[in-house]
Amino acid sequence: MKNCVDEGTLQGYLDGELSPALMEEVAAHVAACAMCAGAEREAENELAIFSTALAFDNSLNVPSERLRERLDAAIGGMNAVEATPKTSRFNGFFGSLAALFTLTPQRSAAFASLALVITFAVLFVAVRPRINAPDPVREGVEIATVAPAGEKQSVVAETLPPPAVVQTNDAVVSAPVRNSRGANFVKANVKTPARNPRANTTGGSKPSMPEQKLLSGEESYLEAIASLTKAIDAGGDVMLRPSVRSEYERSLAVVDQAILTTRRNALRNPKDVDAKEFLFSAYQTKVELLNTVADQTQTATLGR
Amino acid sequence: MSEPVRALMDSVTKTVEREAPALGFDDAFTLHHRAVYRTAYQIVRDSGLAEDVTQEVFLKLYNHRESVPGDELLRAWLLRVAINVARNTLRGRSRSNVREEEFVKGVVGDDGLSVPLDVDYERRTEIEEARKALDRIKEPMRSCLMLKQQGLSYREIATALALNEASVGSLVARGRKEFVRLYGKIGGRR
Repeated sequence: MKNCVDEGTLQGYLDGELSPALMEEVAAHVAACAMCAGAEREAENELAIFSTALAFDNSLNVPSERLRERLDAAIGGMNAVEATPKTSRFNGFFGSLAALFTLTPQRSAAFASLALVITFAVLFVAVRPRINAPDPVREGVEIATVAPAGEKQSVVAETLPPPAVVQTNDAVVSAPVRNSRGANFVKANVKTPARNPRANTTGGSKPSMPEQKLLSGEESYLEAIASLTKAIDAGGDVMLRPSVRSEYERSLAVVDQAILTTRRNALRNPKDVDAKEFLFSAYQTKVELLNTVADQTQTATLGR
Repeated sequence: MSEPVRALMDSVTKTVEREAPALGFDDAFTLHHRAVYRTAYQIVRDSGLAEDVTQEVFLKLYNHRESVPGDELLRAWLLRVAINVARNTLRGRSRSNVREEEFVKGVVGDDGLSVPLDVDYERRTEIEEARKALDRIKEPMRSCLMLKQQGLSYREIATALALNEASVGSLVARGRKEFVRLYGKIGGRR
């Protein structure tokens, strides 16, 4: 090598990155050329300064265990999300329709408890007109509020066959009737949430959510329930006949049990849209039951 | 077997399979997580953020493990991703956290939280000066030096930074010179 080595080649030589032939050539040249020997020494010095100066960062403690744990957790979470079957929108829609007609043990239990709850609600509505004394003034108000409930009762009664399996349709049929009662004292003040959580903006686009204390859409139900309970409590026990009161409490216990069970299921299987659907149905039933009772207490309070 | 039961079995099998990642992934993590973390740290200068970057890099590896280059260039691929993710992290931070960062800097000093307090003052100053000098070196020389420091070959550096392999030696040499110049200037050594 007659010409002096350029800085890149010299660096490659120092880093052992050149081909064996070129390494030999550069070594021979550096041995013979004072200028290149000086450049080599300078480069080595600079590399030493560089390595020493950044030695701390280069020997930085790496939290290997924590990194591994975090990574495992993230991969676990990712897999949980991926575990939900990927279907097209239409497949998903038809799948969910078809799924309504597939009975799993969980689903039949949930339907059965819902049907039970609805039965109680219907019974409760049936005995309702007898609650208040036949005060003519109050009667007028009563009729105004009871009439739509009567409609509901008839619709539900017509579509309420005895076996639990067929009652699954009942939940579907009675669903549109749920929010149809417009002339209602309490409802005017209370936001009744949409039954379908997918219509909800928070829960809609992300059906697969991580486990958390409150499911999306749940909050609105809880708010509605809280304000209804408050309204009923404000009315006081005296507004309900003891027999009706006990009927109400028994229904409430059944609904609460249904909520508890479906909620546990929904939390356990956060990806299961059905489980969430059942939970919201249970909530909706409770909201209705409370609505009915709140109507009565309010009517009674007005008539007092 | 009914449809729901089959679906459940499928999802369970899938989960079990995924929970036991391929051996290659574990090996890759064991071998390269230090280089990834340290490279990320050189850019973000914060241990928490460096952890975030490392996690994201290996999640990307996990998700693309079918298409990632083989053993030879795996480290280069990982560090390339690490540099990109770390820069994006910094960009995101500079947009949203400038004020907080300035506040923190004002409170704890320029050395941030990364140099342990048990390191004596003189050494801390040196470390900070070295970091400042490195930060002032222009790209791609800075990245070349960083990757060189992590023990990457020229070929790996060229792959990681999308450079011509023949130019890596020259970039390292220029970066090294620039570092020494800036380091001397900052510390008043020259």
